[in-house]
Amino acid sequence: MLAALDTAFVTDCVDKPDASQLGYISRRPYADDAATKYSRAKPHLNIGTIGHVDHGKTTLTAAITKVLAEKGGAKFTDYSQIDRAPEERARGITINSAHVEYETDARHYGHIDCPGHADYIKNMITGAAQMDGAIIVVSATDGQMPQTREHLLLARQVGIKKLVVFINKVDQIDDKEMLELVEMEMRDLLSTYNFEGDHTPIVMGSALAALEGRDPEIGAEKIKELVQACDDWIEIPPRDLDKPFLMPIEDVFSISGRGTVCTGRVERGVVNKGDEVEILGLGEKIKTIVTGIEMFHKELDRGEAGDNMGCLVRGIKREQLRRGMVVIKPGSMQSVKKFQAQIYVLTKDEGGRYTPFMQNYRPQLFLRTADITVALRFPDGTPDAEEKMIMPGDNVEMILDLVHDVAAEVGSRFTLREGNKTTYEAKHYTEAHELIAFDDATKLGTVYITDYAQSSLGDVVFVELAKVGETVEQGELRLQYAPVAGTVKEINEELNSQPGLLNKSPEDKGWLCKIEVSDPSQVESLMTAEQYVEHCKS
Amino acid sequence: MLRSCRRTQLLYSSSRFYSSEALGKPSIKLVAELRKLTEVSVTKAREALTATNNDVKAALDWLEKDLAVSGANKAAKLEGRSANEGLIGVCVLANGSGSGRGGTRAAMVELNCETDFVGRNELFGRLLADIAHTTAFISEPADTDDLLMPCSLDMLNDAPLISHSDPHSPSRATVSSAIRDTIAKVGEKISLRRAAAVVREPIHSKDLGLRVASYVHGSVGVPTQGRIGSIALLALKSKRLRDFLAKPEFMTDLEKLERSIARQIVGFDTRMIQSATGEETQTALYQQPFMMFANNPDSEDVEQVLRRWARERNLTEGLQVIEFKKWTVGGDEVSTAPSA
Repeated sequence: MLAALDTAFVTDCVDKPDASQLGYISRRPYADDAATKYSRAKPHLNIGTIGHVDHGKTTLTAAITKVLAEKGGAKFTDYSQIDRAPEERARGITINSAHVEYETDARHYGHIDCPGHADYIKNMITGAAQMDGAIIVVSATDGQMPQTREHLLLARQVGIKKLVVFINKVDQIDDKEMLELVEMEMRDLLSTYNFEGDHTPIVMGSALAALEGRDPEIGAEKIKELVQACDDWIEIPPRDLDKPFLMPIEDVFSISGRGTVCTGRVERGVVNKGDEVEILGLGEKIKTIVTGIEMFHKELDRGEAGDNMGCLVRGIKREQLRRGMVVIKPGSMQSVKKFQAQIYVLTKDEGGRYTPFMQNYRPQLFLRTADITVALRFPDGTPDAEEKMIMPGDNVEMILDLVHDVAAEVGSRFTLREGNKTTYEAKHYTEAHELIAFDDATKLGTVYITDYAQSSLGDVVFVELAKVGETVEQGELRLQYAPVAGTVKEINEELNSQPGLLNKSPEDKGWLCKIEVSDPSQVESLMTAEQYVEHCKS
Repeated sequence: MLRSCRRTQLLYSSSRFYSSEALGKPSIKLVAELRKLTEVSVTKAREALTATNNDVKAALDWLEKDLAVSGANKAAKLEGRSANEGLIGVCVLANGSGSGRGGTRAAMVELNCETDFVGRNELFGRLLADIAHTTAFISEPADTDDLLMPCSLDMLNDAPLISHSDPHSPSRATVSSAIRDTIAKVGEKISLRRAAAVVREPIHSKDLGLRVASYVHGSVGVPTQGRIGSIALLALKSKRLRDFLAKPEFMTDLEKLERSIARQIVGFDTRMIQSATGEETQTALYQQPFMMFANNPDSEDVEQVLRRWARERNLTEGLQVIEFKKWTVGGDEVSTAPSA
């Protein structure tokens, strides 16, 4: 599960209210896994259908499931079920798309169908269903249409290298030469847009015939031929395990007598004890040897994609390594300080910003475990770049200039968030092991139980909380956790049903309530982080 | 592969047919040629050639006549479908005092289609540009207090379409027939949703000026077409206005300011010029921090910036935004009555 870590990370950021953009480094992405469950025995690919509204995309999709269902490779999904294209939220972004899945003898396919260009782009950026290939559907009665060019441009933009063409409704054309013309024109157009026009499989049939179970020579047989063409022509993206080793560093420790250990979750590939690795990013490029691999306090000889592990590295000081760097197979990746990326800016409803921004905007970039300030600008030659604005809901290609370098490659996903939003959230502590994160701008104090209390004091006893709107005094008994006076603005309702949440870290929904502080100096008089550490020791 | 040898065969047969084109059945070479010229469907191109005995010129005439009928049929067939995608187009033929004769002539139009694929297509963009140009061109100065007036779609539909790229070429179609032709080619419902224009003769008063500002956001190719559009009208007042308008550097600054205002209206949730009660600080243009104006280090609001801008240029009686319209594709209209 290569991309899983990336994806999880993306989700993580987007769910937070100030996540504002998702990005995607242009063109060729990793294959991502579809959200659906399927057998891992066969290689998985995502495939999409693109075509004019009346050319039979939906009918074709239904026909594929019907024909493959007869062999047990799919669940027949009828036209009306596919045509709905439900609005879904992937990583916080609203996308219209329909999903079905099916299996051939050789492969498992996730099949998506979106109504528009913008939806396919969102799909790519979120990685909801990264398309490895696509079927272009063209009706024999019309031939390619003016917007077929836009369909091919989209396929290029979302990084698809290989297409298969289905010429539909052939039963409505009696002149065979006309079919040949449609094919010839299609090959010309494919070549114009750098898809291998001469070699791209073009299948002619009738999706409706297949769906209605008549005329198998243009119906079911042609569907089988189409699916076979997908199997033969569209390439399988390499599996995570087969890719070169990569582990983003989450944390670095120094173990006396042994050396420096970096921990993280292996994103892809395999590493063995004794392997040479390269540590990359944040200004460093260090070659070293993995002298030990540890997982769940056990020594291992090998770590692979998906493992959470610690990696003991030879001859490296703890100070040399930092969260945000990556451990990789030497030479398999470069670190970059500048790259071009496709960015989707979340709308207000999706949890994003509600004002536009201009170039030279400086948000934080989160890529794997790295967190780096970045400046955005339009690519050279963009007309009126100085005056161009970017609004929520836009997707744009921009150049990103990073303050530090980071290991990245074409297809890496990342998120951008408003910079320094959390920095003016001062943290204060009480003797009763409460943490108050105080936002000076809103005068809102968010109350947590500290990590120390949660990890060291055993089960947290929970008392009745005040109700929203009530005014509380500092240290009021009824409300154990009112460390400051003010008005209760919000209570974490989830705690009622899941008191276990309290035992999670404060950043992980473990907050108790939010109080509008009546006297900010009261907060100031509480302990600072250093004082609290001393307090815990005593 | 089988395919490649089939293709060779095909090329061979096509050339053979080309040389014997007089026979009744249309050659695919000619069908392909006709399609390149007109972008009509394969079926239609073949029909045209059959009817005209393979004479491409005659087929073109035949198609033009046929499109009126078949385009209308196609349009009728698609009538029930919903078209929520598309583009807003703006056309400014005269942007007011200080340029040209000093008159004002501009229009904004929304043209809808079913998918954003068609919205991104050149044919659709060209049609929209032509309709926006036509709207700006044919609108008459109205004797109303409001300057930005909605245009009657019936009137517009029957108007001869003016080509934006070549306005002096004779018109070959009306707006509605041009829409019909495009429907026949792209096979999607296309509808003209709304159009508005501002048309004023030059103002005779020496100390008063009127300017048009516009911005369109989310352009794919053409910068005057996109998903959100705004047109705003600015009034300038000064005893020495004529002198100012004659200075190129004043005009450069003014145009920059105009673009910033039009962008501000689009970029923010702008619903009015001024809040009557003073409560709507987010949605009232004058109360918004003027983030779209480059030289605004203290994040002054729009009203403050306008005042400062006028003061710095000795524009004694200042300048004001007096009306605006903002449209989003498929969305509601936001517009203002003239502020008091």
